[in-house]
Amino acid sequence: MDIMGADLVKAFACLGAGISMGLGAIGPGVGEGFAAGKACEAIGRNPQEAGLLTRTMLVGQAVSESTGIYSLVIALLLLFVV
Amino acid sequence: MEELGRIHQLIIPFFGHDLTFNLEVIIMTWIVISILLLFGFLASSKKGVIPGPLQVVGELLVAQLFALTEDALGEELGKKYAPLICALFMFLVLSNWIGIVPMMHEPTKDLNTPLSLGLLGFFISHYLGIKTKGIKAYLKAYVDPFFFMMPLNVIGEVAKVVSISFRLFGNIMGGSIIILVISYLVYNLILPPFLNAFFGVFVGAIQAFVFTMLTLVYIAVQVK
Amino acid sequence: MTGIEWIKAASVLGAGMSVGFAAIGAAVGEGYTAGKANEALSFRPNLVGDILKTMLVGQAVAETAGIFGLVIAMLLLFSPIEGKSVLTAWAYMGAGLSMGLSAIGCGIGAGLPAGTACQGIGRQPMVSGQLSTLMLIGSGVAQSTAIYGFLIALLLLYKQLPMGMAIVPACSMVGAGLCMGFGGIGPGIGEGMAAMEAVSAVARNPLTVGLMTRTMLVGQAVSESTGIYSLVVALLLVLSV
Repeated sequence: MDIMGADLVKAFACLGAGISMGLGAIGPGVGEGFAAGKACEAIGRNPQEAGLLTRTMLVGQAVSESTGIYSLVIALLLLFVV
Repeated sequence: MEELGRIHQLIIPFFGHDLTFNLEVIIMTWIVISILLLFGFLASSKKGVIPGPLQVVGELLVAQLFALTEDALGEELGKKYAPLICALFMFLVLSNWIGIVPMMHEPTKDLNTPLSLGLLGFFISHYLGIKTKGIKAYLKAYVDPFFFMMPLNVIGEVAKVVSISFRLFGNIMGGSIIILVISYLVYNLILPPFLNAFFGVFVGAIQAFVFTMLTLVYIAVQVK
Repeated sequence: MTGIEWIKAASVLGAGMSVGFAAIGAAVGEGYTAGKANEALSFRPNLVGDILKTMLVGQAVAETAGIFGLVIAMLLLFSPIEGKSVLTAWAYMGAGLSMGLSAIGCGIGAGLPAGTACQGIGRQPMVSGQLSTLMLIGSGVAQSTAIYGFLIALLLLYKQLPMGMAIVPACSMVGAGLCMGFGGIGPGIGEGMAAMEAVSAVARNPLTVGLMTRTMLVGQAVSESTGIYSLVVALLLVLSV
């Protein structure tokens, strides 16, 4: 079996895209779940502020998701550009 | 199984470029819009003190979503932007649910629909941010802790659009592919109704609510 | 070695990874549930029926991830391999990785709310019905990334592959398996943590059950988004072969 250099690059780009998105998804998943859990706990303590707490939770989750977005961007770049 | 990942496209040459139309998505979007228009017309045509069934559903949706919007944006802006939030939620819920009907496909299964709705939210929130805070305070938010944070803040704003649209797209597309693959493997016996109930009705409603809620939150963050 | 032997070896390896990794998550989740149930029983020995029932239901949900792993392992071991392309070996490895790794997070994630529900029933026996419903919804949603891993594994198992060996499809199939597999871990645990706190808040203040269900579902839907990105990338990799 002959492997050309370009094929090798393409193959490892595919593998790298998978590993990038896969490992990149672990941290944001746990972190956002932590934020959601703490928001639930806080709303249980003080249900009057539910709207404010939900909005704060969503903003915090959007920020903690940014590393996941970076992984997604890198994975898509590896798939379509390399 | 053969139709997996296939898109029905209409390609029209236009001065040297190719214009591509995803026919299925366009037709399904029109169907969703016409059902919503019909619903709105029927729900509001015979208004009475004792409401009919359609009027009850309409009033429930409108009252809940108006309360949600006013809670997030305040009295004045809430009144102004609640119709947008109502329309967004009803369009998304119906789009996500229409895949349950045989031969119908969810318009949100194609990335173009969620992405355009996400961009809509992005532009509205930034327009409102400039309008309410003034351009100086709006720009100042980008260099917030210190000047070097500006690239990260800009990327963060763009990431919001990517995350909101990919979340809806991935959920709906993943659900429809799961229903297709598992129905094919069990020869359409027993399992498909339950899968449709979970991925069509339950996930569809939740994702529509999350999309609406996030658009509202992004607007609220810019305004305050 | 011939092609058939490579495929056989890969199917054995994939089956081992699928059921082995999946067993980690399911076992940790079930053990956590049983531990919390014992803790609750030590405070309230007279509630043994309710707590035991909730524990068993919760463990059954946490077990689902392990059963998915077992199903994929069976399919890998008993699928016919005569006349298949050599690329099938790589697809089988990807299928095992995808199912096994993604089940780790979901097993743990489904165990967390189940254990807290047992504890909550010990604290508030009057609302045991509401607590178990909330627990079932929460751990059911936490399973969704395992379902995505199952989907990628099935797509890899039943894909029609071109004959002959080429490195790009091989790597992209293993990459799809790694992507969905690792990508399922984090969201599974995170969704489980959200459901756990929601169940414990309802046990503290049962009047907030409606509000808590809504907050939990919104929070879980957002925590799942990185799992969804992994699904999108994995589907792109699988369907591009």
